[in-house]
Amino acid sequence: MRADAAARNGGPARADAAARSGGPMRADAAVRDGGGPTRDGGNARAGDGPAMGDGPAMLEVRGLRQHFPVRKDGKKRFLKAVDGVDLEVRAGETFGLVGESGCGKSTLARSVIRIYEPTGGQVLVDGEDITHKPQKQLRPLRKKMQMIFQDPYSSLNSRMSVRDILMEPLIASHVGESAAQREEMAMRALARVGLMADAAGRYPHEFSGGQRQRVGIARALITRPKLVICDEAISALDVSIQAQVVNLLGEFQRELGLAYLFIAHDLSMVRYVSHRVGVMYLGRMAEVCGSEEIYANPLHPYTQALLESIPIPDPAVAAGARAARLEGEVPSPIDPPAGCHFHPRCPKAMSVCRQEEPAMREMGGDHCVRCHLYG
Amino acid sequence: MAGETILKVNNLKTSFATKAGRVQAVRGISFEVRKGEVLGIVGESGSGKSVASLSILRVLPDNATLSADSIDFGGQDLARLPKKEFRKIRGARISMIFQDPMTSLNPLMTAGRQVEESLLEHCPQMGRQAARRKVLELFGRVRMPDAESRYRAYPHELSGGMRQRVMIAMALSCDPELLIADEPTTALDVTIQGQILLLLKELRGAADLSVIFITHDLGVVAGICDRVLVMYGGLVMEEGLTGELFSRPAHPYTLGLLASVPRLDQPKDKRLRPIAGSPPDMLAPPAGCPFFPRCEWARNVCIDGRPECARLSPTHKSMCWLLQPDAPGEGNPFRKAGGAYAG
Ligand SMILES: Nc1ncnc2c1ncn2[C@@H]1O[C@H](COP(=O)(O)OP(=O)(O)OP(=O)(O)O)[C@@H](O)[C@H]1O
Ligand SMILES: Nc1ncnc2c1ncn2[C@@H]1O[C@H](COP(=O)(O)OP(=O)(O)OP(=O)(O)O)[C@@H](O)[C@H]1O
Ligand code: SF4
Ligand SMILES: [Mg+2]
Ligand SMILES: [Mg+2]
Repeated sequence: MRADAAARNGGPARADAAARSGGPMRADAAVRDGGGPTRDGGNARAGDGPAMGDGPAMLEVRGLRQHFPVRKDGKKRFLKAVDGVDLEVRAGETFGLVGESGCGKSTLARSVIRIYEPTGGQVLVDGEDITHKPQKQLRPLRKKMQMIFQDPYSSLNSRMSVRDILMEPLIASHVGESAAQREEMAMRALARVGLMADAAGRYPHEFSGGQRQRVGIARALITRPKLVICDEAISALDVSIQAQVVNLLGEFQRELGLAYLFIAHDLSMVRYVSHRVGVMYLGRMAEVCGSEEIYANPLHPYTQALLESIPIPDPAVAAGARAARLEGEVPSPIDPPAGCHFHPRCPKAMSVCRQEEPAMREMGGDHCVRCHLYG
Repeated sequence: MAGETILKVNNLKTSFATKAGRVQAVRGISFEVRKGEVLGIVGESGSGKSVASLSILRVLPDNATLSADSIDFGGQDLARLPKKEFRKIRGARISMIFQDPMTSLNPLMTAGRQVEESLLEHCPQMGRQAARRKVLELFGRVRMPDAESRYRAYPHELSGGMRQRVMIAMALSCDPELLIADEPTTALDVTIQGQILLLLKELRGAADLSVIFITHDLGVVAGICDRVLVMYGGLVMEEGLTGELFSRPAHPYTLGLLASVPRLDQPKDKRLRPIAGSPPDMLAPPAGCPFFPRCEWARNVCIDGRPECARLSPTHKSMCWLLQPDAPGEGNPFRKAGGAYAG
């Protein structure tokens, strides 16, 4: 039965078949048999998708604020996790979001899919304002937007088998005509994320970290959503599976005109998958531009520091002690520094930076930066 | 590099009983860690990296079976140490940073309190006040912003990277001799990751800390590891100094791994090249080389028998038939023109 299902679903289970028939696995056979309509694969990159930039906006975020009440020194204060962020992601586009740990990326994602209710600003999904919609009215929208979480462990129900985890969203949004058909869709989704058919009967704790994350990805994509928020979705995967998943996300994007908000720390991967990139610092957007541009011509001093800290997979280079470039205390989102939030750590800070908050400036060619150096 | 051996694992095997059958997660691995050394473990997702480290600390679920010829830690055999004795080692002399920070943090206890409790458990003579000071100092060392107010935050109020730093602080709190770090920096941005790596290097220098560092980030491997094990299908496929592994990879899986990474110094118009096919079914792993179904150089010998160990240098080993002296020269990626790869 397993072999049968595998054969029907094509894809990764082929390795198994190859093993049994004793021949070496042809390198590209598995990719071609992946089951996607885009035969030659492709990935979430500029040039591949539908004409980029003129698709409708799938996600619009305007002046978004998410402040949490906290206590500090016995007083009630607000932690400004997200403090006035604007961004837009169009159909068929991948927007990469990077920034220091704790700068508000996950909070932004959670506000966008309304795990939190924003304390300010607006969120529009596919043109519809969902900022303050009650949870009940959000339900029909859930099929349209999905999230893949940073922490696969806490986001998968540990008492459900993988088969049930995958079939649940199908049942919830009335996809598929029969249980058998839904089961087949679940098996197909498993194969596409590179898991064996026998994974269906297992439970989340029986998987390795990376395998568990792939279950989360399969679940998010199974309802064919329009907007997917990937919060560190591939960070827990080994590089080869990362490449598989990234190619897969790209196939889905071209097939469905999907919009991705792609949050990650791995800057080389972000460059690779994104059309545009936003760099956040302490609750705000510091710089936004095309994904090539950000590496070729980073303007904000924080972006520059970030790029300099990327570990290079080459011991000869690494040995040259490319130690931590960014000095200074990570500031507090409860008492953010006055003026430019980055000024206490900025090697180029001027006196104006300590007093005045820089505004977001258009530098031409869709490149925006929030820094006094360019005022 | 020349330090004495502090951990020596001999033929470790761990499997799990499941409804579908027995998952053979780790199938006989041996390695050692020296004092003041950072040993990297890389490998396919599901290859047994986490299970191997959980086995060393014997923190496995009930459906697991462990066997080993020995796991020698400073003269004690961890595979046979009575449970009570083990408590003096786990969390004290050997500590671990788990891969899933959320599962190892108690959601109902504040971050600072958790680190404090674990500190007091192993050093009860310390006293609350001192413990609290030490926790705050540790939070500072792992670059926790706003350490005072994070001390009182619950795990769900922390970002992913902050939770990971709580775990790191907890693992370092008892000044361990050996730290097992399972993907300790995946949730951190590159600048803070750089600072954590620096901290580990400092501790290695000042306190002779030894580290087993599990990661899939080859950039991190290049930056901090002295030696690397490459795992696949529950076995060690290649082992060598970091420099050897990057400059002369000697296993087809390692080649595939190195080819799958996008690099900033390369054009991005290339489709990423994942290793085609999928990992072996650990319920019924191949008898021969576990990589053969995906290996473009596989021959019959690879299907039938586990490769023998080829020694390429005193520090560099590979488990691939292509490295054996009688392997065919033609089309052999490890055979340079005019002679064997090794030598
Ligand atoms: N529920 C909450 N209550 C109070 N503070 C919170 C809450 N959720 C997040 N925060 C705080 O908001 C800030 C932003 O956290 P967030 O998780 O968005 O960061 P992030 O950019 O995703 O970081 P990472 O890269 O580490 O995942 C942090 O200072 C965090 O402590
Ligand atoms: N409790 C369990 N029950 C059954 N199988 C398990 C259990 N824990 C792990 N496994 C299996 O053991 C194998 C090795 O898992 P392990 O967690 O060591 O992988 P890993 O190398 O750490 O992968 P990753 O890089 O994805 O974290 C996997 O095939 C996994 O499915
Ligand atoms: S505004 Fe000033 S402090 Fe801020 S990044 Fe630019 S130069 Fe640095
Ligand atoms: Mg986050
Ligand atoms: Mg693991």
